[in-house]
Amino acid sequence: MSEKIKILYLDDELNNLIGFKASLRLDYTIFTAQNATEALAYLDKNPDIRVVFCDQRMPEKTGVEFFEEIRSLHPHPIRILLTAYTDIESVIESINRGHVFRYVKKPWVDTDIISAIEEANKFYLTNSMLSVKNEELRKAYTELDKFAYSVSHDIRGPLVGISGGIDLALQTSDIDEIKEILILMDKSVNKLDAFILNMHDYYSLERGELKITAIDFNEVVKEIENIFAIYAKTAKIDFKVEVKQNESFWNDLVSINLIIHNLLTNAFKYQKKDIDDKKVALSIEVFRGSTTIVVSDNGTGIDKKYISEVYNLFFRANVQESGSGLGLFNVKSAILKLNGTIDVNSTLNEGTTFTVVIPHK
Amino acid sequence: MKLSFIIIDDRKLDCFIAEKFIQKTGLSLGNKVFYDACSGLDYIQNTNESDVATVILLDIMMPVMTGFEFIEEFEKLSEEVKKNYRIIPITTSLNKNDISKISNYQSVTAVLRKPYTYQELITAIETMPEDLR
Repeated sequence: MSEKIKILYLDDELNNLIGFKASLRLDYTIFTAQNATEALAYLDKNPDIRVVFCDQRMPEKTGVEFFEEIRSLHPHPIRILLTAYTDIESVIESINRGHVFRYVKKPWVDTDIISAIEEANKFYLTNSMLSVKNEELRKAYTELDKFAYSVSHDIRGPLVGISGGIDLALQTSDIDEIKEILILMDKSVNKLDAFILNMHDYYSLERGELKITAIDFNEVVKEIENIFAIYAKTAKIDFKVEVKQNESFWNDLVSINLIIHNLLTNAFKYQKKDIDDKKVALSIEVFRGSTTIVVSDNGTGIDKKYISEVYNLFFRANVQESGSGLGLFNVKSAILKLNGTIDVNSTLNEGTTFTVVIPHK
Repeated sequence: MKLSFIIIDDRKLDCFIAEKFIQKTGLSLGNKVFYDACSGLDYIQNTNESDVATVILLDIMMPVMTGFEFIEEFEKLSEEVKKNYRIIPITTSLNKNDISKISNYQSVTAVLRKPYTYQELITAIETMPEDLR
């Protein structure tokens, strides 16, 4: 292990503290305290203390009382009591009540202390791993719940629409009306397809590994321009692209493409219908190892009250039917995975600017 | 029995189907389509044609303002306004709790599940309480 395990020892006898530190300081980082206040200060300052030793017999309060007190404030460090034989009753009780991981008899021998530390450390690691896993599980369940709920609207919704359309088309003999139905059905099919593609992105972000390559943003942008140029032309949107890259940049190309693509899709999608000078701009700058991507538009903007929710899974702040509620969630996930940041600046009816900063891998 | 209709659904295809069904009934005095619940609610609050019996076909799962929220807001309107409207929520949800929750609102007379047939719509309209007329 690169870093030494941090240990706190509380005892009112200075000699004990000195002896403890002298024999263990080479293998561990030792903090010693002569009273509870001092000990608490160390715990507050060093949340990564893993093991706390405490003497049972102290003038202000007993070791068991001290442990009871820190248990709620600092639940993570493993608590070990140092005690002589005479206190054994109270020790057994406190172990049974879960305040103390184990006890070491006084006077101690170093091997007892070291084995207690090693055991406590193992316990600490297992516990913290468990809490990380628990947190991941909790998150996965929440997303699963949301997913199950959204399946009925985002997947089943277009499908029942299409099925209703087929039914209606079968009952009519007017070819123009059938064509009208077909156009609407086609939109539903495209929407369903887009949703499934987004789901695929979501899955690969959650489970996939990063593949780090050198990224040439001029190349990246060329492909993106190809995709959006046709759309910009038909929707009469002025699409400006700017790239400044004078140094190499290594990162995961798939994630970066996903971020740019989703932000641009939104910028193109949420345009005001009634204006002539529709604008979307993409600028990418690589400077001192980090890349800043700015996507801005003069479209519909985002209502202030929704701005904190835009990255949430399946959240949609707009009444237009084309959103899946996955796009910005995927963007945020990708950025977190790359240790980057995203900021949004938006005014309703004036436009939106997303600024993404991604560090070098 | 002649009725006016309001369709509130964020999907154009579903609105189109509803419109066609409504025309087919021969009961319609006309219909309005809203792609979001807020505009629908606005219309109801500000319209003057308050003496025409109106059926609202309401999609439940919509962004920004859901069908549930629409009904909550609708229930707050004055009795004078409310008495002319009956709401038929339309849902894709398969969740029984959702469906029984919507049925409990005073202004809701029937619930349709997507995809619904022409016959189901007719039945939902015909079984509406008499006092709507």
